[in-house]
Amino acid sequence: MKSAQYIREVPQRYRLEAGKCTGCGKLHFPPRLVCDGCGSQEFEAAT
Amino acid sequence: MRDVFIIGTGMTPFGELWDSSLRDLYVEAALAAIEDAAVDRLDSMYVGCMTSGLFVGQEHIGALMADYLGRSPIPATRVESACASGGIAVRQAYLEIASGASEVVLAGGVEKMNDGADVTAALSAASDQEYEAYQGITFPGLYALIARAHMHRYGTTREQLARVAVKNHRHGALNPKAQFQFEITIDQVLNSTQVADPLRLLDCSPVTDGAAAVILASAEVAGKLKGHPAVKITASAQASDTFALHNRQDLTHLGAVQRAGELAFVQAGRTIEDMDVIELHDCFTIAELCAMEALGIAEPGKAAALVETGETTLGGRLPINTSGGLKAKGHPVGASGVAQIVELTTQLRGTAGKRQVEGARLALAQNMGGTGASCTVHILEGAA
Repeated sequence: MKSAQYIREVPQRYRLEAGKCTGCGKLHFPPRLVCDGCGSQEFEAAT
Repeated sequence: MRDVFIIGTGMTPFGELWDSSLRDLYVEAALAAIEDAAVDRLDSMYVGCMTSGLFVGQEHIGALMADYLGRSPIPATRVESACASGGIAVRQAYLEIASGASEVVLAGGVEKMNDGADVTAALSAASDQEYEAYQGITFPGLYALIARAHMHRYGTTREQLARVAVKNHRHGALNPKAQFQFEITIDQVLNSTQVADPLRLLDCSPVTDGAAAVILASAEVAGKLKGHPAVKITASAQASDTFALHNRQDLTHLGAVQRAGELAFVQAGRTIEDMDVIELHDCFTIAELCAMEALGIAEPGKAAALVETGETTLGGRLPINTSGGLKAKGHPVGASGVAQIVELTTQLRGTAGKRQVEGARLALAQNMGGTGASCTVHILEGAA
């Protein structure tokens, strides 16, 4: 893996951080920019 | 064929974006375009991208982007034509609406070039692998051959090439999304590192991460929107030329650019004299001069002199590359063709701020792949 990609993905690979949609509560792992459940773009980190 | 309108635009900043992945970039630009258009409907989408496989090891990115944009199951198609991938993505979206098959289509372009790949080797995949790249020549080398031929044939000087870069940096300094938001001098160009004689570092477009997106729609959908003044695509043309440079009769003549231009002028019922603002594919300074000549902006051999008069600088009669062009705005190869359309739509809406061309109503974008083996020309018209 390229070092830049590796550093970007540290939260997912080492803390198993997911993105929890603040709109509908759906958990995304790996995180996304758009919720495929409700279309919201607001997330909070969840471990 | 039905009329097609641009109802939304979006783009990421261009530059070295180490914190963003390929999918982050595309989704960010697409979301901005969707928000700008203020439509929820999306019938299909295109992803212009030259070589995500070589840059980050990822292919199959049509479906990937649809998924991460939260738009599955709409059809999503990746389009590749080297540096013309973005222009052809826009053209495919245009054709889909013009044909009546769809009402609202997203055309985006993306390239993630800074992630550790051998960029020069990846880009050389757009040249003839068996007869050009095999000999060790790279794109700066190929365009250096074109520049040498232009200098030999027409007496174009090293300083004249530098003026193209100086002009585009002057424009880029006014573009908050540009990779290089500063001006440069002729001396700086002439004293920059030699890359491929006669081209120097400041003749070459940079290595860039970025994405750009536009939303196209039919007249029926566009007519119901109240947000922006309508921008209509009045021509979408495409052509091809000999793939390798050594098969050209004249190294300085971009046949596909001329052909796509001629087709576009017929479609739009306009001439080059009608244009108010133009975006050209200045991957190297010499490319802007050759494209000007192929489109009839200047006679063969006369483009450099026209640049010197300042007529193609902002404030001149026909500003070229108000965005900063590929040179200063940056050149994420698959995104560049779409970013040209974003810039021209901004100009035609009259929202380009400090780089606004006053009264701009007609605009032309020229985007090409390789050394001009593929080319698209789009003509856009704003409201009167």
